Amino acid sequence: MSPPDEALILGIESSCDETAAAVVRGGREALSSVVHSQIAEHAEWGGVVPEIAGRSHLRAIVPAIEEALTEANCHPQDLSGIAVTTRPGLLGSLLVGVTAAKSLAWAWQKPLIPVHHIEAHAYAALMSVDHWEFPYITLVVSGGHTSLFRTESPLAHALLGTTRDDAAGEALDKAAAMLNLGYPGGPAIQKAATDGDPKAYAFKRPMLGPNSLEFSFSGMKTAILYKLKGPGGRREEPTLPESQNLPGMAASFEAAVMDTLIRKCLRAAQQYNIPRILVGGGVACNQRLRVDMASAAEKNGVQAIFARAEHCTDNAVMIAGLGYAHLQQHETADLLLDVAAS
Amino acid sequence: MSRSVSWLSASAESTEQLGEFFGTCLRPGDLVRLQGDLGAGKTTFCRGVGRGLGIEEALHSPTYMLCKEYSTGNGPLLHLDGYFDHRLTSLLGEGLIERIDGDSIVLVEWAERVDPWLPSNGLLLRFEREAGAGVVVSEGSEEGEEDHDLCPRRIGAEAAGDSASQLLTRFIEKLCAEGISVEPDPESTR
Repeated sequence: MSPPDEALILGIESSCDETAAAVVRGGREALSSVVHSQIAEHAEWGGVVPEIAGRSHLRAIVPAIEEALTEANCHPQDLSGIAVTTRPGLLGSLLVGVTAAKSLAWAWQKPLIPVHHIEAHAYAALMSVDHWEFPYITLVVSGGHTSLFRTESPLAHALLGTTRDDAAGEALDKAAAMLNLGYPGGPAIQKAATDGDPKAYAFKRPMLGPNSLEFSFSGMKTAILYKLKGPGGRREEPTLPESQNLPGMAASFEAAVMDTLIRKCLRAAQQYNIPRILVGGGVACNQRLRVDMASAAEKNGVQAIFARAEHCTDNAVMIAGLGYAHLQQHETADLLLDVAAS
Repeated sequence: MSRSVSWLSASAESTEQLGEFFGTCLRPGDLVRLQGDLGAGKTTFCRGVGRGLGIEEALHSPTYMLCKEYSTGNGPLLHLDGYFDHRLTSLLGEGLIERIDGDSIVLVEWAERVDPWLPSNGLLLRFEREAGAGVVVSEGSEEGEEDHDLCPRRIGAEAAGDSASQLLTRFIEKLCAEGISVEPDPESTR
């Protein structure tokens, strides 16, 4: 029996830095979304404190779940299932969420639903669409992932291409570190790039051949390193001389990363003759990507759909949402459910 | 006694090939630190190591995820990254540290940033753009940009401890068998 359209799913996410819980109705409507980020917690102490980080998920998980249920005015007996990220991610972090989900599923006698983190990022973009029109070209882009898929349903994604080296978000993180802009790099670069000229400095867009749907961002990070080290790499440490313009450098680098992503998405849309693109993952928050992708897509007769900004970075709404789709297909797990790093 | 040697790698492809040969020499418990500037070739080498160990999935940079784990015919491979040193030390403090002395093969990129957390033995691999080789302007590069990724890399190896020394010996033998020459490390002759 399929779950009712109004089914409430509790979602739990703990694959990396965030501990998150949410209640979603019918795979669509977020009744609550709690995200506890270690990044904010560490900022209070002026840096990462290992003791805090080590126990952070463990300390945050139960309050996050309680808060998500309270905020949604939801009682455990109202739930139709408990969805949890099982892969990919850090094993120790994943285990905290999965162990919590198992315990609650057993205590409350609810179906336990395993969810793939990357597929959930794609689902976050699908949540922005009222009427789904499969297939889609899907880009999931974050600090740890940069992948293109052909999406046939919320549960079926065929990989078309991925990064050969660094993820796009990692390139932004490393560029931000070189420019002394802080972590995470994406928002820091975006802020520094405001009012900057994206054509101030030349950065190649690595396309890897005329038909490739793979990505490579390693060369771009070398390119900015050498722009900062001066010709021939004469400065030992990468620095931006004051005479150069930081907004221009940030904007040029940001534009090169985003432009590469946009060109690859449009290339995939053309190759597969699929005029609809979904974009999710932390880097999908980026304003330049959202604006430039929209205009490039329109010029090419393609529709570009982004996950809502609050559903781009790691969250549990997307986990609960995709959990609902799994439950409709009766894809549940028993208490032997395990986690996987990749 | 520590000993050091080095190789010149003309291209990213050859760095990856060296990594693949290196991967075939790894045994459970081996610890390898990889040092070098951004884009110097650490991840490229590791991708080759993954192939040499028979891992089907391509290895990527672990900077963001901090630690990636793969199973191989020679036991688990842990691929760590100390670029975000505070984030990795948190993870090591959480218990990952206990697995570094175990039966896993451990590769650590940006190892110098988390050095106090690592055992003092192990094989150190240093990646450097070859001094004096200059900057090569790639043919047909867009916007005429200098392409630093085309300059050769020197990969230096330094073994500390018996098992690292044995690993280095196996690697040198493997390279000799493949017809690749080994030079004494210029660093060590200074």
